[in-house]
Amino acid sequence: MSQMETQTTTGETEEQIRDEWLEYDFEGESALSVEDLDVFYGNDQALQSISMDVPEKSVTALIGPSGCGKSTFLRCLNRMNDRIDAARVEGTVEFDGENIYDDDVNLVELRKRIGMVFQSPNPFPKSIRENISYGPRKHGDIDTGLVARLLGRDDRDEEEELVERCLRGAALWDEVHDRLDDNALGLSGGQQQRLCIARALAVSPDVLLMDEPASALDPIATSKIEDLVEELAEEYTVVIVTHNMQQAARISDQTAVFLTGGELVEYGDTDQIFENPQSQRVEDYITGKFG
Amino acid sequence: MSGASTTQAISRSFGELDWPARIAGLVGALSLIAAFAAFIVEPGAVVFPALVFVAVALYGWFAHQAETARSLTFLATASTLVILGVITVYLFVKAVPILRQMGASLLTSAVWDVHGGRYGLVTMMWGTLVTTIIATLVSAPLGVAGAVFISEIAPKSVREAVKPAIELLAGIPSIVYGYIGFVVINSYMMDLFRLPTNGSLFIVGLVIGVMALPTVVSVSEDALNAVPNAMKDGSVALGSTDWQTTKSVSVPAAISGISAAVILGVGRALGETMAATVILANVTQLPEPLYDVFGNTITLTSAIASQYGVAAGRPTQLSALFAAGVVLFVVVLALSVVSQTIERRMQQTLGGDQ
Ligand SMILES: Nc1ncnc2c1ncn2[C@@H]1O[C@H](COP(=O)(O)OP(=O)(O)OP(=O)(O)O)[C@@H](O)[C@H]1O
Ligand SMILES: [Mg+2]
Repeated sequence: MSQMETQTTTGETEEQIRDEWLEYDFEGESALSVEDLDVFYGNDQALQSISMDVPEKSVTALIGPSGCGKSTFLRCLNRMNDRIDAARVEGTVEFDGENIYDDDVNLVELRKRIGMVFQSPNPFPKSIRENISYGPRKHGDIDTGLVARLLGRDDRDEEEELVERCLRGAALWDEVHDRLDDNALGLSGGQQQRLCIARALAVSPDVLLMDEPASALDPIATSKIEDLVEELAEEYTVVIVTHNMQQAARISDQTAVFLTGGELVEYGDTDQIFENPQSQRVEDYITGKFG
Repeated sequence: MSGASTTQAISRSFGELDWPARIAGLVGALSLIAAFAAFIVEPGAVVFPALVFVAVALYGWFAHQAETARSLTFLATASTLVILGVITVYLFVKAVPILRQMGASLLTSAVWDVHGGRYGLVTMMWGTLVTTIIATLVSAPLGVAGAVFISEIAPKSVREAVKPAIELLAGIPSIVYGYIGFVVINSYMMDLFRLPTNGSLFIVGLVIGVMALPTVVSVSEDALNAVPNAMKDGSVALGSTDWQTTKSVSVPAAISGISAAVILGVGRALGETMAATVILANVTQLPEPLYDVFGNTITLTSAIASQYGVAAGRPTQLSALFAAGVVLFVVVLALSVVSQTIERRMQQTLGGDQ
């Protein structure tokens, strides 16, 4: 239908992405600043020249129909796309005064500061406790190994404290506190997802990227996660992908709408996007006419 | 259950056939039975029922291809199983006389006295054990390290070239490995350590270890590859290095598959015949002292390979060699079951079923 209109009355109904729809003025600093980001998988372009600033200590929601490139965009922000052979990224992402796509960027350090929760839960086949302390152990912040203990360093108390704090943070503590040594793969899907959130919190990143963290959760766990996200935004910058409009409306400060083809069509204050979208296509998407 | 349903399926399709086809099926079955009977009674006569069977099969192929194909594939599978079963039974039956004669000392005595007619398997079991341990010590660390490199460290282009090349190595006939071991390594080691005798358990273990390498590498690599990328991504996204991810996520997640690979390789080492037969002098005596890996003794397989000819006239010795076969059979079977169980468990764990 829209195809026909586009062909017949070009200029009238064909909607182009207008710069003013992408302009979002906010107070305070931006945590991430994306400029002209293109992503290709082989010859297919998945993101088309995306530019947006993500304000710090706030929740930014990314919404859009399936396959429009939300996960791809998120993975650009901590360079996880480097791990996909076919993926090629052009453009810049500025974080802490530096382009993360510069050659001399330390990826390990970068990912320590920009954490990620994946679309499907991916706990390690280890105990719940080990899942949480994995990151800090790898960074040398926690050491309970035999050698460390012989050398007089024993962080077991710190570990206990960290595990409890992160599990509470991810609203999982009450369910698992009496079986911290059980294999994490024995948890339910929703519990696994919250464990992955807890695991990301344990590293204390500056930015937390969350890819549909609540898609596998029941309403109760979802609302716990939503509370958590809002709480996190006091200290962290959260970028969250969601398919759930109400959720985006509830928890985010600003919303970016991606549409099929990998375009960022509109970006602005969440209330404004949901109540008074500028773009017709965004309005159609939000009201469920298109998607 | 599946056996019953197969029979049902066959009898159902039999019921659906027209009369000429039913008769053909019957004739085919009878001719097959007749062929077996003839094989036992008068081998020369096998030709006739066999020809009848071929004729019936040809007729069936053109008249009722689906039914014929079903019957023939069923027959092929059934005869494979029957033949393997008969061989296994034969092996055990042939080992009974020596067990009856020697009793438990068959497995506890190191005496292999052809003239006195007393046989114990301890010497060759020891030889097999020592060579297997050495082979494992060679193939496990090298093979696992190689697998880790290929699957986790090497760039994609290297992986795609090296993996098939390594699998190709598994195709080199064992006699070639054995011969190289004897000609090259043996003389080198004799010089190096001033060994008094040709051949030693150590060289056999080394050669078999190298032979088992392709299996260990390739199966461990498969196990490492089976670790979901999402799991590795999870580790990397927490700010750990690639090596930390390999060490703390990939290898532990694949560890059961890796052990299965090592056990599979060890199974190969246990059953390996040619290398041991070519390299060892086949002395039926325990090495002196027992741990002398440069000593020369015999393994279960090389005993069978080097003695079955001379044992032809001595039923007890022949039976003792069959007993050696039984020991091998049982151990290799056990290893294979263990390795398959481990692998199945790994898949369940990674699949999250557990
Ligand atoms: N590893 C990959 N290799 C090739 N193409 C990919 C890959 N990952 C994603 N794509 C393609 O890029 C486009 C965007 O995918 P992406 O996963 O970013 O979508 P999404 O918006 O997250 O969708 P969903 O809401 O379903 O998760 C899709 O067309 C997809 O087919
Ligand atoms: Mg996605």
